[in-house]
Amino acid sequence: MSSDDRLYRLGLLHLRDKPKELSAALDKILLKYEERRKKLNQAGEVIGRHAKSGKPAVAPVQKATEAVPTSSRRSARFSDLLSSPATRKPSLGTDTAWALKLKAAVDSAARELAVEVRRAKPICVPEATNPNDMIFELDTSKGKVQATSHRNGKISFRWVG
Amino acid sequence: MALWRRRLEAGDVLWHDHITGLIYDMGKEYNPRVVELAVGRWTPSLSVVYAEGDLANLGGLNNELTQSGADRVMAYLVSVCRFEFEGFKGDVVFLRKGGDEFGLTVVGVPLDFVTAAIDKAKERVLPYLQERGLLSLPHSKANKPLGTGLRFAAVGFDPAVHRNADELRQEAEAFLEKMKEKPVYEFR
Repeated sequence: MSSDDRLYRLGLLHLRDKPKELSAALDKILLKYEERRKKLNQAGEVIGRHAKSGKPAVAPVQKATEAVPTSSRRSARFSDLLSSPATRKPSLGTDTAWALKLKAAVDSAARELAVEVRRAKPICVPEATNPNDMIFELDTSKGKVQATSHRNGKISFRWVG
Repeated sequence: MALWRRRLEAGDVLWHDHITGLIYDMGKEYNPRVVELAVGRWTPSLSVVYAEGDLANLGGLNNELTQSGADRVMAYLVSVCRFEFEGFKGDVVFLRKGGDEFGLTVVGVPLDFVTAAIDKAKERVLPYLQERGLLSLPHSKANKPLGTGLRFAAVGFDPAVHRNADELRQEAEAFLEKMKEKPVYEFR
């Protein structure tokens, strides 16, 4: 019901049951503000920053060829790790995804394998297998385990050594 | 408490939500005034951020856990968010607007800090949702993403982009509706 209120306030209640049209109308509203920000960017003025889910806030004037600056060492490490195969550009906000997946892998290892996880680290995105899989190495009380987090949310384990 | 908040609350009879402990803006008149007053305080060195919040799939939660169970989940999620938001060194008004709608107005804290706190709160409630299998909760409406969780669309006020407080709220609301096309937690 409250979502309807919000759509009513946006003047889009009539598109409630038409997801495609609703999405386009929302894009139009968001674009209006984005355009204003862009204009300011072009003028080189200092503007407020706007957060999109998983994407960085719009930065002030920056050449297209320049690399996006990383805000912390941690982000840089994850970015380096992911960009090393150079087969595809990692989506922004990937470090959060890795952290969440790592946590999920540790939790499910503890639950399903009944082990105590001492250390865990991400390894790489393998080129040979599905590039969307994430692989983690877990050091547990019963030895080393390689956990693969699949795109569909499943996590598989393989004892190493 | 900050003077502007005291001034707001002096003339109002404020309801408090017994489930979450937040201010309950039943008439949906208080929140616009909060945002308007906050925007009035904006200066280049004093940022104003408004975040529109939403508990995803409340209908699905009600179906799965009954209303009391859904209320418990909501209370937990909100308590974690409150813990994160109330740590700000600025003025914070976090309120419940309706069934599953929330509003967060922050003065004096940059947008980056607010979005970081939102992300942290989302991350902290993840184990709770995972343990109860709520990340794959079927949606009460067809063709909607599975799972539940609190999502916030945060927008920083800029007088060159937003002409008034209404435009700030409009952008946040449109942003949130757009976010609803995807699940709260996205795993690649």
